[in-house]
Amino acid sequence: MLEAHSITVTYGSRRVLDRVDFTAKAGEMTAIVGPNGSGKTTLLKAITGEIVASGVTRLDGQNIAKMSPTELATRRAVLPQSGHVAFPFTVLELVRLGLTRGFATSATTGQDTLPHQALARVGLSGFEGRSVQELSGGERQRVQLARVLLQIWEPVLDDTPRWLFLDEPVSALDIGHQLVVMQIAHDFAQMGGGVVAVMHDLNLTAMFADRVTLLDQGRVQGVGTPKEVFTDAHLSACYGCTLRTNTPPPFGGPWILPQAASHHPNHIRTSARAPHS
Amino acid sequence: MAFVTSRLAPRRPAALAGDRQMRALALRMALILALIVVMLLSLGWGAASGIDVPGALAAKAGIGTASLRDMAIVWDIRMPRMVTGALVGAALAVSGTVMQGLFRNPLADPGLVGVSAGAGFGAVAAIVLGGFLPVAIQAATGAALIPLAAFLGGWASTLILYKIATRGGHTSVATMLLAGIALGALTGAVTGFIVYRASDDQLRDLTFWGMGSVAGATWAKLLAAGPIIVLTLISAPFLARALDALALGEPVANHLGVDVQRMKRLAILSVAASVGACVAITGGIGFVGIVVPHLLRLVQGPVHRLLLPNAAILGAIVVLLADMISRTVVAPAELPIGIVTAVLGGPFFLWILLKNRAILEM
Repeated sequence: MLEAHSITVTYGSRRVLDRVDFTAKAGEMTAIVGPNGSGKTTLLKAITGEIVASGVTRLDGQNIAKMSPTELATRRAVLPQSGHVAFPFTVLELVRLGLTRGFATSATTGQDTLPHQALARVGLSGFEGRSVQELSGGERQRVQLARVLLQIWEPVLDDTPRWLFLDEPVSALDIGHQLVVMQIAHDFAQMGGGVVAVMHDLNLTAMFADRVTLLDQGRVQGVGTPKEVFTDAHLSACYGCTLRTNTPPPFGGPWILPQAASHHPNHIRTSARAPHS
Repeated sequence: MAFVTSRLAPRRPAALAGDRQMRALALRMALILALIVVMLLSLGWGAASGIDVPGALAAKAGIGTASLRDMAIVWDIRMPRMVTGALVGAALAVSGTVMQGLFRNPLADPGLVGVSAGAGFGAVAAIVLGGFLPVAIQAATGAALIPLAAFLGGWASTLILYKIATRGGHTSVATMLLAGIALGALTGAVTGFIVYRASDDQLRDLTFWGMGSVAGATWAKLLAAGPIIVLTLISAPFLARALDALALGEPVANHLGVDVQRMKRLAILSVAASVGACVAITGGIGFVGIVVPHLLRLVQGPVHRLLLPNAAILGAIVVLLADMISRTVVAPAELPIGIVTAVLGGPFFLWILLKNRAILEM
């Protein structure tokens, strides 16, 4: 159980998060959604301890501010939005950095094979010898995911769930790999781990997330299952545009389509309206 | 049939692809052999001819005898010089590697960004102004006063540099290099002022700081600065994994379990201590810290656990070779070793600069 109470973050005079409460359960995937600048990433940074925020975050009952970096690293892993790698590591060398328990103790079983399994999981078998700096953005994002997965390879360790935090994990990916990555996160939760993901794609969120927290202007605007939170009025108000939620038959969950404003060119209006006709 | 099998078999076992550990270890073996050869050459290299180096070495171990002259030249002149060269080379290369990891870019070097200048300032201040210190302090520090002052000077400039160049966990290369130039100029000016006020005796002590030399190496100086260097060399591998993680950015390093703030303090302390100690006994020797790690990264990659030990060995080799060149070019006089490393390292640095234009424009 991840519980964050009254998280407030202020940058200068701007209040990015205003007394936000956030909870996530192990065994579930919890998505944080909201428009640009709503404070999604800031919330993720606050509950992973990356930035100092007022308020308290407890990870399975323990205040994260009182946990050492090493202790935290064995309990949770964080995938940031893709970042710069300063030196030309090979894919294998970079993924191996996820062997966190090798940090405290020199040898762990599976140190040799696990990195390869992690790479296979993200569809990058055979990439071991490539230089990370020469990969495409999407490939690099998946290499980082393999590293993150390796850090908390078993979703439950010693009867304690471990946590996977993802900041826009599919933003750089093609549609096929978006599904691969969402499935990995989903499976991690199914096996008892906790997943918290900042998401832009509302439909992927509706498909994979068990629970959703909707943020706007640093405040929580809705908490619940995707079905409960993703209503026309709710979403349209937060995102500042007309959005229509449907439940197409084969999937059964909410499916969000943008409704183009009337002054938009004709073809956009027609295609956006098509499903409702 | 055999042809078909070999075509189907992977060119390399999958477990080895991307893993440059074996390459790094093979390279280490080769470097150790080269270091031993260069060390022996360094002992035999010099103006005095007809020295029975093996005999003098064996005599110290109680095997056979050697003339007093040979014993004195090998053990009191060449040996401290060789050990100093090797230790300083190792320390400079390791400091360069640590600093590049810390600043997250391959262009950081203690000599380039003003750390050596800060250490030099500390050392010069200690030589010229040390006499004004209370006698108790002079007595307590003894021969360690100069290395200590150099360490403090290097530490202060590293801290200032880091504070200026790093904002929000991101180090700007341009800011770092420019701040390094400014710091170097400033400390250089203050150093120059102190030198201007120095007495003739002190001036003789000071002349070699600017360009660096291992010629003045003695056992006494080694005893004062050597332990600091050895300590930083031994401690560097403990930073290895943290430096790897830091290459992915401070937040990621933190998520991977690295206490980033503590690690940065340790790294800065270690760089300052080791550069301070080096400057105290040999003055400024530039470019070793940038050339050595860069060459090694091309061959074995950036994993610091493998990189740091190899950098130490190759750094020792480079400085010993440069010292041999400095003893040969204008023989029987000697060229300051800093000139040799600058002549070799300057063009190399330009080459790295051209290759890394993209990084600089960040």
